[in-house]
Amino acid sequence: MLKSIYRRIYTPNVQILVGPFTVIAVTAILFILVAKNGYLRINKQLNVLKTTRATERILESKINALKEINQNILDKTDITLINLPNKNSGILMFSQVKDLGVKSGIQINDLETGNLKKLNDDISSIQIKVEGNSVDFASLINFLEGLNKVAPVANIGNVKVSTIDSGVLESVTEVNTFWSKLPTELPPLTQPIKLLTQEEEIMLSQISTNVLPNFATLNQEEPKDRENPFR
Amino acid sequence: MSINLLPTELRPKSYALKLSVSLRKIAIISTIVFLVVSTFLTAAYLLIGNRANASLKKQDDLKRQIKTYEDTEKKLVLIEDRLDKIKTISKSENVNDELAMLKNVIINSYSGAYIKDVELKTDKAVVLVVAGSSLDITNFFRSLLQNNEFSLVTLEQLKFSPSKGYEVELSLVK
Repeated sequence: MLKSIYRRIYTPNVQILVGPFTVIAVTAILFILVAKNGYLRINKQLNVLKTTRATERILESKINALKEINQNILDKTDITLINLPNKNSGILMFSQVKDLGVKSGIQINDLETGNLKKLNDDISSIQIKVEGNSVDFASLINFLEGLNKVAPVANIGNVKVSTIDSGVLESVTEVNTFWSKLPTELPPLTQPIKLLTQEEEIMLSQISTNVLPNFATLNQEEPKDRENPFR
Repeated sequence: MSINLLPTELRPKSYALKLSVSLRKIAIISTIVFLVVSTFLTAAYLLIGNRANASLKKQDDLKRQIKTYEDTEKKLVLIEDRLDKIKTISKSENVNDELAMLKNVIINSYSGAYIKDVELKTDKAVVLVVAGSSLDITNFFRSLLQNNEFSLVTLEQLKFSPSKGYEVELSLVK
């Protein structure tokens, strides 16, 4: 029974076509599989190549930029840090105000710190209230303008000036001085380097001319023998 | 002359023979195409892979080179960070404009009047001027208005007493 069905279906006409047809079908299936897989893999590999080439270009330009950075700019690192220290700059500003008072002919009567606040998440400030006497507006203006030319950077809040009976100008100046914590990490290696803009270079040369505070320097001493107090 | 001894019903028909020949040709062509395409895809995959590996190696080398410039980068990052923050500070509220206005008023003001009190605020400067006569006040105003430094001058208060003379309180906005 089965044999006769088989003979009826698997006729000589069919027998002669089965071979080539099977080859075509298998080749077509393999072709689809290989083409699809191959395309996906090659596409993936091309994306990898594209990314690595882009990173390579960034790294190359970064190295070139690092090699070409002007040494004069790098030498000003300390100056920028003095202009905006990483710790409370109130003490430094105290000294600057006193020095500036002497230079401008202002008699400083009282210095008071307070009003500790944050300008934003990164920058903190403290206010120094300066009470002083001056003989004329010229010396007071010199003093106020001088506050904008000292390191650490400061800005002037309110100023109140009144002439007292003797003709002397009595002033109360609110000076804000700032500090900010240092950056904690370098940008990722693959991030392009950002060089200083022209505006930043101008600003850098401006703050480089700010009057630096007088730091107390302690000279190194040789170790001494400990004296015997019972001798 | 060859003689086919197969019974005719066991022999394929001529149309089947023709179709079989065509199918064989198609099979051969498709196999060749398949082999060529597979070879091409494999070669392309290997070539691109090689190039990606070479690029990765070069990247590692460049990264090592950048590490040697770490100090330079640290300094640059610190300078940029400080400058950026100093820029923010310089844009914060201050009386620099008002100070410039006061300086201007003092330099250019009429000598018959004198500035008694001043208050510099972040948005305006308030000046109290004293003069002996109304003419002095007029001249002071004239000298003030010749100045293009201000966008708004407001007379806040005008007082007169025989002992002190004229007292004028002005608010100046740049």
